[in-house]
Amino acid sequence: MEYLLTTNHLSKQYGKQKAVDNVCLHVKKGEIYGLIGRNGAGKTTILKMLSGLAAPTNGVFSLFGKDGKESRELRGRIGTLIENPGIYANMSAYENLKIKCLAMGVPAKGTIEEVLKIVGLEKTGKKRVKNFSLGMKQRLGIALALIGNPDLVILDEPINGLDPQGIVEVRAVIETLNKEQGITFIISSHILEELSKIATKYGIIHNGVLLQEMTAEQLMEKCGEYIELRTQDAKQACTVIESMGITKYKVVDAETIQIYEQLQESGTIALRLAERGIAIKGIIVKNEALEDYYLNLTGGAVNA
Amino acid sequence: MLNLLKMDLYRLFRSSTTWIMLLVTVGMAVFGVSMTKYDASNMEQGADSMATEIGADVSDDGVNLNFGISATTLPEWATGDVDFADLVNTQVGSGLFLIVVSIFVTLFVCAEHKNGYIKNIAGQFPNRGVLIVSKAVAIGAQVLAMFLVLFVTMFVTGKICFGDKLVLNSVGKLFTVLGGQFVLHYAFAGVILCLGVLFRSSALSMTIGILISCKLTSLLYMLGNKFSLDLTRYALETNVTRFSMITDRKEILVMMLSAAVIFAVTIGTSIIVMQKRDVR
Repeated sequence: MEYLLTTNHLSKQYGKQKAVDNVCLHVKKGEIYGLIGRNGAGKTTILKMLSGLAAPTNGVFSLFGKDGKESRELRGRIGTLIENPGIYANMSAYENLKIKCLAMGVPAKGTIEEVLKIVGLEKTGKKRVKNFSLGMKQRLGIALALIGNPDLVILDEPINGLDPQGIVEVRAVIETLNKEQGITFIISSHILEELSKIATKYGIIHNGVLLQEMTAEQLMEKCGEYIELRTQDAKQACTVIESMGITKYKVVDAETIQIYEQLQESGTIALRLAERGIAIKGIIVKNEALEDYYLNLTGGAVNA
Repeated sequence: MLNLLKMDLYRLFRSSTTWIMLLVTVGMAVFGVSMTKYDASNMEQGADSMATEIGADVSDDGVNLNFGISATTLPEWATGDVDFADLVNTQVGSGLFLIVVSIFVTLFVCAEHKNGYIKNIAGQFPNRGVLIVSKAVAIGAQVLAMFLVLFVTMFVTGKICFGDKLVLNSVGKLFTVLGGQFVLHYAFAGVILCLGVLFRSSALSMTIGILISCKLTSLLYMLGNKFSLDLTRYALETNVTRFSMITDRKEILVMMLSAAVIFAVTIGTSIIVMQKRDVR
């Protein structure tokens, strides 16, 4: 099983409006998949369909290598936190978790204590949830998603409304669970900067359409600093830059090379190329910030 | 399914609504029996009946169907014995208990939609209809508990108010009253559950439930008269009152069957809606 979850042209239409349009996601086991998009881009609708809370208008998805009805039977292996945490405010964290344990047929004793410890709520005792801070409620929402030892956890905007301390806490919980228990995460957010701190793969969604899927490395490649070299003969230029000990580079097309190391050596590179008689059309150090990249991709600079 | 039932029963047990409704049931029973005693005393002194009644007659074809809530005090109670089965029947038949059922079911059903808890569990079950079945069973348990509390409270209050005049002429009749009224009230709970699932709004469902309890639907049933169809024979809220006045076994059977049909239709509708509709 290469992918833990794939969607095949998943669509959702409300009346005449297409909330999600032919989305094809690919999530591998152990990944932290960041679904990034603006408010109203269709992130929550996608996650609701994956969680079994909404039915797709078109398209199917495969879960743990199973399709159709078989995949629906496996939804018990998915933990979800969609939008705000669904909790009984007049009950304690323990009681809220016990309700889910009972529903799932999971032994409450031991499980609840373990989950509360993971999210750092083990000392809340009989305190009612209505007296919790927003961060604590969010962590309780994650705890609820963890009941039943899920293999895949879907978190919709888990850092929404949290203060910086809360964001750090939630991020730490996700990273720990991913590394120590191998749980795969799909996390949606409209804050790319935050997602970039934990996500290993990204899906960029805009107006219900999945614009791009890329790994964290690919995104960093696109967003980090690099030397863009434009020359008449990229093949020969490659020989020159390799002779300088540069290995991290990419040939974009017959004339363009992107170099990701020795960024301060752009002058030397130009000199060496000239010595070999390779004409340079341009050499420039480029830098694209994450947010800029995202905004350019979604047309945000114009629309924002 | 069994796990979901355990969950709903746990939630029922932990919910303050459950205990408040049981307290309201106690208060209602004490109030109802006390007012009956007061009314019987007045009748004994030759005054007019002061039966606890709010509303106005719609029709009088031998069966008293009123708007609002009314409890009947039988004339023989003024001087003779008070049959406990009749006392239970007239009190439960007032329709006040239907209001308590409406409020409880609405709060219980709409709670998990309101706070979003349903999103934690609905996706875990390929057939979401089981969520409704489990809820229907849990509600049945609560309605039964309310009936037991009502029964005990009315007996204790009746003994205090009427002393040795409170008698039990027939155990069979008492069980018929309790069983029949339970079926009617449980079926009514099914209607309210369906409204809660359809509207996902506690305010709207509760308002409709209370209006039905107050028999405002009688106006609709009057339309049936134009087609020589007596809809009140099948309606739950009117049958709750009629049950205390009718002794014909065939008619009681019609009431029970119509209650069973209404329950099956409303629960079936709720299951379909829960399965087909997206969870918000």
